[in-house]
Amino acid sequence: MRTLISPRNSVVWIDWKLLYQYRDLLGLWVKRDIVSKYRQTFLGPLWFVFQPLITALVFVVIFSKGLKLSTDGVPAALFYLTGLVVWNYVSQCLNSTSMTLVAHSGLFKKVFFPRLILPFSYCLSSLVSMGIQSGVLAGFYLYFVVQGATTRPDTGVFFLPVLVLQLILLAFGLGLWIAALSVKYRDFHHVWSLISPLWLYATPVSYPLSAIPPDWQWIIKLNPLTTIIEGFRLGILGAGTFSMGDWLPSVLFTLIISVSGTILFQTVERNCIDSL
Amino acid sequence: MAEESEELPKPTRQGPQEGTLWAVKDLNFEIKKGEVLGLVGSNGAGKSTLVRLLSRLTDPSEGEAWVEGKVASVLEVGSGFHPDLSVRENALLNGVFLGMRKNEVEDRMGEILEFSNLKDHHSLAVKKLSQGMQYRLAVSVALHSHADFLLLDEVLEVADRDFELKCFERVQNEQERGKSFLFVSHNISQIKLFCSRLLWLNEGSIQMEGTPEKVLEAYLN
Repeated sequence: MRTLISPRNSVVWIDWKLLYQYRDLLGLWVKRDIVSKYRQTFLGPLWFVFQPLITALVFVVIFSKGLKLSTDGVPAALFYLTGLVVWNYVSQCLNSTSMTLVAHSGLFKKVFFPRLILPFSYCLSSLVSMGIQSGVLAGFYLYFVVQGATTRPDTGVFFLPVLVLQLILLAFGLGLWIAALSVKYRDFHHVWSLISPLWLYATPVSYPLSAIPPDWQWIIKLNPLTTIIEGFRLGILGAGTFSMGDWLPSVLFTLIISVSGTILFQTVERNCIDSL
Repeated sequence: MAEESEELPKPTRQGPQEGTLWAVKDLNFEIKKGEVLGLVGSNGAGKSTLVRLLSRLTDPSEGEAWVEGKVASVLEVGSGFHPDLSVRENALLNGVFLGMRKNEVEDRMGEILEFSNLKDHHSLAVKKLSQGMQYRLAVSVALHSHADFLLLDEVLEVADRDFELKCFERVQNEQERGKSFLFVSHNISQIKLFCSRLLWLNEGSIQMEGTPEKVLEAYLN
């Protein structure tokens, strides 16, 4: 094996060969991330149970009981929990992915390895808490069905793995964009902390897409998370607005954001890491 | 195995310009198979820049270097260690960061633990170890890497006498098997012990190159 070290182009593409050489790092970093999150905390994984429960409770009180917003005929708690499982995944991924460069600047300065592995492993390790929260959802689901609710999964449930894949890619791409921008412009994470809650309300988590007047739905559909969450609810709860016509643009957006985010992240990492 | 570096200046965002500060410039040298090349020079002479260039952490703005075989570099002891992971898990992670496959580290785990004297503590969380023990673990992983070319940037500086000799023995064995080293240090006795040849960097270029005795005599005076 011969390696040439020479001046590099300003744009850094994906080095698949290098990623393959370092493939073991992915699993090890996923494990490290999970351990660092769970060990040493009093309640450990229980936090991931409480957090969506409390948010769902707030949503039930404010949006369902208070504002009497529709939940597509599904028990309100199930409706909100399903949306929150997806939303929390994205939010958790973005939190850790976007901080990759800042939190591990020491490692980036001192060790050579394919940089993309770290942010990607955060998107995988966040699946663990998503799994725990899905378990909570399943528990509630069972409870409501036993209590006589008529909510049932739809055949769309078999489509969920594809949506999960899209969700991982979307969170990965967006996280890389935020990571790159926060390194280049230090105050970007303040901007992000303003955008993030707004994004939650521009996403049909606390309301169904069907509650939006048809003439205005296109605005909410611009948000790539919209079809993913509606698809999740259609599959799991049998109530949601999902069509290929809405989904394909969201897939296209996901692909564009993840490819462009990857290149931007690598380029910024290459050129700006010394200034961290 | 050979490295040749020519004109390896510090990259600037706009590329080289008039009046650019060159961290290193006009370097041309070779490290042979089985050689321990020492790098000496005062602070700011460009030693770390050279190490970073050869580690692929910084791109040169001009010139090139060829490396035959696998490179691993240690610029910081225990990179990626997590206090809550066990000795074994951290060794695995650290080894993978050095470019090894997981099973390659596992194959050498016995030797690594033996070398660092941590055989009885392999499942202990690293935070329960003393600083010295963590240091030994990290150095041990580095010295057991599969790389054909290992860069050590002031890594053995804080080793005690016993461990230093142990490392020396290890380096010597590896050298005989054809592994090459680039050894950066400010510790003169260590340089004398480890290096087969010295490169003296001054203000980013080579001041002198030759046997440790010859270069040290000039360097220290």
